[in-house]
Amino acid sequence: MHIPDGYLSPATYISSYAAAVPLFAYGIKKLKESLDEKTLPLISSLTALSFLVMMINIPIPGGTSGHAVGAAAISILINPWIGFISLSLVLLIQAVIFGDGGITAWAVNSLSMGFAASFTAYFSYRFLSGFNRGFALFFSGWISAVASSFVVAFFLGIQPMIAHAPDGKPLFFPFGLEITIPALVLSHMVYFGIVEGVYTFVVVRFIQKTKNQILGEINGV
Amino acid sequence: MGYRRIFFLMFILFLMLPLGLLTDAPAWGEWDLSFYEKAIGFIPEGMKKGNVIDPLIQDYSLEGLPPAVSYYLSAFIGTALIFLSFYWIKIIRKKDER
Repeated sequence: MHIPDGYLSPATYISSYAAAVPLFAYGIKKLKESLDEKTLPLISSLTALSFLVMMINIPIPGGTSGHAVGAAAISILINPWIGFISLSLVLLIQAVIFGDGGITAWAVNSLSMGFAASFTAYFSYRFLSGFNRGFALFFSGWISAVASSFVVAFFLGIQPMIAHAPDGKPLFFPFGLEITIPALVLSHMVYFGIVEGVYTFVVVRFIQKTKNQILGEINGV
Repeated sequence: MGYRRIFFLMFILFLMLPLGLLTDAPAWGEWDLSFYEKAIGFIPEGMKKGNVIDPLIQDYSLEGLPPAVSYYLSAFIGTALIFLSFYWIKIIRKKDER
């Protein structure tokens, strides 16, 4: 999910920005290094695919919905740093233009759907692709969704502990870890992880050939 | 050859976009504030303020336009901004090199 403004306490979002800024700086440096005539259309269109697939909301039992994110596909096809930066760009546009996710929560959203998703996908793919490439793609997508849901659940779930009024009333997101972790992580294990796995499998399989023809291999991390 | 496959995928997702409008269900946690009123009896103080900025196209919907049209316009605008942003980063890179 995209955390909106008002859900996170200032202590949380200020520290999340402090953690994210150096990562953004390094990721943008990586992106600049690999952005040229050949890679520009590829990276831009993969990022646009992420933006588009996030608009396709899928309802699940229990009255909520979700969507694929697409970080794993970019991370595996190009590079996890570029997956992270591309997703952060999508999240920024979603927050500023469409009110989808908050400005104060942008760093946490980028750390979850960008950073955690890209790097878990990258390492699980590296580890598993030697055994079975198809399964590695699916699993990397799945684990990226589960990992990012865990990060969101963590940041939301610590709010009632760290920010409450003197009478104990929560000032920001009111549900603790005992609610956020099962609700978010389980729904991503059972539903959205599967969607992400299938998306990753299809997109990487479909684009790999194009990518190899255009670029050869781009350097890893 | 070239980018035909990627544009084909983009085209497929464009065709699928209206499916995203079929559900009214929000993502877990992205509820209206009235949900909190019902669930815990009050709206937490910090959540009342809501967005820190007024987004241009709140929730991908433009007043007076059919939802599907707004959705498609939003998709075009978002996609265009993504391409422009990367193009801009590439221009900065060129300037850096000089």
